[in-house]
Amino acid sequence: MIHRTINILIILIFLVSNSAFAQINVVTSTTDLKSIVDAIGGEKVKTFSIARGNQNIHSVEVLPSYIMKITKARMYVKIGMGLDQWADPLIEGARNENLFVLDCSKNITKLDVPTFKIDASHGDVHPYGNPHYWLDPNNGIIIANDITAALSKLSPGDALYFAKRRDEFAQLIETKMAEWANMMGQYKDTKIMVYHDDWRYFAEAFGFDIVGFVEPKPGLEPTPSHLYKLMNIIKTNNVKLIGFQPYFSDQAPNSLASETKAKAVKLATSVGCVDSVLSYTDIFDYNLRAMIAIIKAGK
Amino acid sequence: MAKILSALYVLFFIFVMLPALFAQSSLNPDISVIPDFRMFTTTEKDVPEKNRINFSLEEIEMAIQAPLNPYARADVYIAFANDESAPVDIEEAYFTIQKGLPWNLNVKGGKFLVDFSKLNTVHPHIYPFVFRPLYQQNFFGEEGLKDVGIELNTLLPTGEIYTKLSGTMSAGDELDGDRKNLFYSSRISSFFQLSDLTALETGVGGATGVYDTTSKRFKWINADIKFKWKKDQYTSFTLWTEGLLSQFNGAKTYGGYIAGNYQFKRRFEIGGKFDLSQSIDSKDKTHLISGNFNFLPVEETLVFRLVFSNTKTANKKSFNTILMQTVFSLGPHKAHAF
Ligand SMILES: [Zn+2]
Repeated sequence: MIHRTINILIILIFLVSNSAFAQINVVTSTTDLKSIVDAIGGEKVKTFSIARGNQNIHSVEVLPSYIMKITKARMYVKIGMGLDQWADPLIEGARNENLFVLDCSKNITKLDVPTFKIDASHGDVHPYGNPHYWLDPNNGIIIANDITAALSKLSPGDALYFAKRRDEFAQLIETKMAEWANMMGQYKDTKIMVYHDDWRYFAEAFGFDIVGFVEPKPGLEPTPSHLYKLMNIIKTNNVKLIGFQPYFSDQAPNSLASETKAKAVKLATSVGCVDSVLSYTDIFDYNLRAMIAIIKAGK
Repeated sequence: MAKILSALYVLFFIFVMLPALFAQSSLNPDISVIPDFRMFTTTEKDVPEKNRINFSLEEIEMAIQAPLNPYARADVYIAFANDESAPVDIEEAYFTIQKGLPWNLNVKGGKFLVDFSKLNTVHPHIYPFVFRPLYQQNFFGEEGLKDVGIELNTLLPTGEIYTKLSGTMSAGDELDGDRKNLFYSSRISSFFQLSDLTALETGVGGATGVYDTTSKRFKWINADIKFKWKKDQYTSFTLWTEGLLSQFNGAKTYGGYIAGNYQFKRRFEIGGKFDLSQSIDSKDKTHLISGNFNFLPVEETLVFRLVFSNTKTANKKSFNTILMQTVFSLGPHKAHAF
């Protein structure tokens, strides 16, 4: 009897430890990438995101505690295009020869790639094009494809499992896309204003017309003269909505809103940016609902 | 002789290195140039700068950095300083082997800032304050503790906590007048993420070397703490404090500083620092108290620091200095480590 119990115990311990060992340890730059890795990897992956969703991912601090997460990881998933360049010293600091680094921008059709020689007089311009590409759900599928391929390479035995989950994820996005297109309906081409140029791909995907940015140039604080200019743009274009992420100061959006008929609204660029956005598709559900509600009310 | 040598350095640099660097297109290393321009006045007696407005291009730092291959990288920092005796100075020039070694080892070789104190490994233009702490000037030298040698460092298996152990063996030339005794130093440091918003790094270093032409060894212990609370990109507070105990030729001396920096808007900071220091062979104490106001209009591309300081030396001499520092930085801006 005791013998059997011990046997069962050993088998149990083996199973538990084995399944824990079989998990692929993945660190991602952002919560959005984490959400997609979770969607594809399911229980086969253990994920951690360096940036929090409610943090400005342009300026994440290089903390040694993040390095420790990467020392034990099998794969690092980055946005690329210079956005998460803070990931490079982290990866370098981790001294992990076993680490596979996946740059999710590799198969993305990049927008706003500078055609002129950029320098700092243009502000903190993204030199390789606009890197906020995950805000187009179609790009979510491209990211998912790359992640599926990478995970399958790291764990060939689970390739079918990942492929199945990828198909489910792509299916979900396609169903949602139809839903979202339906929601947008008559609101297509609505003119909006946003804080930073995070919204280029989003606007392209859903048909918004961005007529101005609260930042005078990427990364710069709004100035009174710039706000005055924006006020005129809002009035002449009948802009109803100024979108900003919660990690930006609400001062400038609110003062613009108080001087015009537009409303300032908190939008989410990442999972966790606002509390109710818990997954990749939630980003679009939340934003479109919040935006359409305001545009509707302004009619 | 020194002048001719440094002139040769400059010529070599302009006519050989720079064209070579720019000739290759895709494999260009990152090059940054960081001038430090100052405007100041002081009430210190017996110096020509007293009670007048002085301008000084204190230093132009040039950083050249690139991976050498998949296993190693190189970093070279050259300083063009406002100093007639050494107008060109190789601040640092070292390679680091980062991968492929057992026990998680990294190996550094060349001339570099010695990992003995946290602040000592940081370049002055990213200090939150202007002046290198007095004790580091007194014990390490005006440019900090840097030396030619090798460093080994590794990450210790301390679970989620980042712990780094490093050991350096170097020529000791900057401190040893006879230039024949080696300098040894070691530091262990740990980083604790206390919450999403707060973090703490603390380290202890030990070092021994020979000072001046005495052939006698000194022993040093240094402790450092850095604490940071970062609420968001608009508000943060950083506290730095370090202290050193020295034993040399029967004399026990010490020095240290504490500095706080509060960022109250995206672009503005105020800070204060208190310094107290003896020196390796003298118990005379110097105090320095300073306050500064920093304005960083666009990240690190242009930084203004206005600092007021009061210094009291052992013989009760007291003087004030007001200084406006402008650091402007050309080239790629990489994220700095904590
Ligand atoms: Zn951006």
